[in-house]
Amino acid sequence: MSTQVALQLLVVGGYAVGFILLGIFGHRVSERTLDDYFVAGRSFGYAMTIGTFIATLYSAFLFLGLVGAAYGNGLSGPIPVFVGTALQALFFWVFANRFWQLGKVFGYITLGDWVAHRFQDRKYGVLISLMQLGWTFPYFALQIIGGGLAISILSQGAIPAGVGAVVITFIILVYTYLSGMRGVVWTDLISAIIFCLIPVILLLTLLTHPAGGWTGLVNQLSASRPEAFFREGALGINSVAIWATLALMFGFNILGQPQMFMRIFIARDFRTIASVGFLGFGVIAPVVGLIVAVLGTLLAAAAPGIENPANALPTFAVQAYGPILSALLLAGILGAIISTTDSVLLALSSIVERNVYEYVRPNRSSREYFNVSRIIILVSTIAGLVMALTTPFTILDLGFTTFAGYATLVIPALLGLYWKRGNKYGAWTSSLLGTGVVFYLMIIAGYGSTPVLGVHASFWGILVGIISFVLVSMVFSEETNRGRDSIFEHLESFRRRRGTAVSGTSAEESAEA
Amino acid sequence: MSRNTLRLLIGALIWVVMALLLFPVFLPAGSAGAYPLVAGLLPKWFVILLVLFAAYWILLVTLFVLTLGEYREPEGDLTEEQR
Repeated sequence: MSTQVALQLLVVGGYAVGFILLGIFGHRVSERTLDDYFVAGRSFGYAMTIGTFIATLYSAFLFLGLVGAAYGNGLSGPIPVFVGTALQALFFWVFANRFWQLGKVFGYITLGDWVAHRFQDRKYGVLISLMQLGWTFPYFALQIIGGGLAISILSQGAIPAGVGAVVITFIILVYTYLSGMRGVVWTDLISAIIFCLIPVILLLTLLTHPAGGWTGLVNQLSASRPEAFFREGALGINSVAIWATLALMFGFNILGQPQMFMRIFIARDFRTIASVGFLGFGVIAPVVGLIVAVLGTLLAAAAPGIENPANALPTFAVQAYGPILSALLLAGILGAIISTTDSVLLALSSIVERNVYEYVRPNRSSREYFNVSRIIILVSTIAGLVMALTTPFTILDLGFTTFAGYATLVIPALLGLYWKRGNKYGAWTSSLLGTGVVFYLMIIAGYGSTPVLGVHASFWGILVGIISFVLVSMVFSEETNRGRDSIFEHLESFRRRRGTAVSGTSAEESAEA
Repeated sequence: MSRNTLRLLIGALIWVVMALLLFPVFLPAGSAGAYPLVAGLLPKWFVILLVLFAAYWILLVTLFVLTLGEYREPEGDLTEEQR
């Protein structure tokens, strides 16, 4: 191993040690309660909350998968995803604010908590939790694969990707095991700042590229591969229908992600959670995404011929920059991977512990539940690592598969927030049929990113999910549902209170006026 | 125009812009020869997309300010009856 590689690994190692120390500090100041461990006592303000959402949203999928999509498929390759993040802002505004209000009163932590209460059916909560668990593992594996690849490229092959994956998993495990949500959120903020800066820094350095800066690189690519600038992408697959259905999938999936749903409840007040939707998903996320799309396209001219597009960014960083700068860049990428993976782990343990273990063994001590959640973190980590080392799927396909699964399973949870008549019969049918369609098309039939009847496979799952929820709920109506009634009464009450607070006048004053 | 009307109007405009972003039928396919680079740097369709995104961001931030600018958390907790 050369001195340069050793120096680079030292920088990355220092970054990892910093993460772990922060996790230990978070552990020391945490209360030993599930609420503190999973949602940090519902106490975080603007910066922490937006930072953790952005850090959790962007991961190996951004730096490896989407940069790779732009590298391989041209400028428009990853754009539907970023349109999807803008759509997520509107979904967040419409749904997440309501979830936050209800969570404050009813103590939700997971999506399973919400659906079990709304549909008054704990078995349905178990079903949704197990589905989330199943769809989360590919995403977890994606992060570990990305981490392994980054370490391998950084060490110039001295450390194989498989060993890199084990190392990154160990770091994540130690850190998440020790910290809980409080430590995770602190490191997320640091990660979010660093990795929002990375694409900007890389893009700026390309201004002085020997090929003639940005214009020179564009001219070079325009001459050699003009299709990289086509709206439909270099591979010709970004039709309007694919564009729209991919973006819809991203819009729908956001609240189906267990790590995202849990984060709704860390906000200390309504203004904070609203700012996540408006500024986090609406502005910051698409801006970073558009920069990444341009960066990936320019890399195709600056570093042509990289066989696996997912390796484009780390390979270019190691080739083009000095040992310290490239190590810092890769440490930032690893930070993004860790900040998503620890959140995924925490979410997995929370959903299994709360919605599955508590169902099987109710009324145990909180200490037992707390210990079980930590065991789940250990088991999930090992399972995720095994999947990462054995899966034949690419990073992009793993990401799309997971997002499609989340997008379909969450439909009853979202519609049930507004539509009183929606009931457990519709919910069961929707989740089983919708998710079944996606599972069949994307995994069994192997369509992956390939269009099905002209649109992305996830669209058929979403469509079947919505139609079956509505139809079955209308046919098999529900007589009484105390959970539903109390939820809608509370929402109405909150709307009245908030209306009063926003206008600054009481209801009585308004009536007099 | 009252603050609420303005909020509704901006909210509706946001969904219109989002619909345009979701279904970019007005962006011609490059394979039809329609990818002229603006200022020799970015294709025309991408620049149009950036303008749409900019409109979306301006509307979104305006709605954010209008909605939460005067917002105060409701005082006191919910009553048992409300729970």
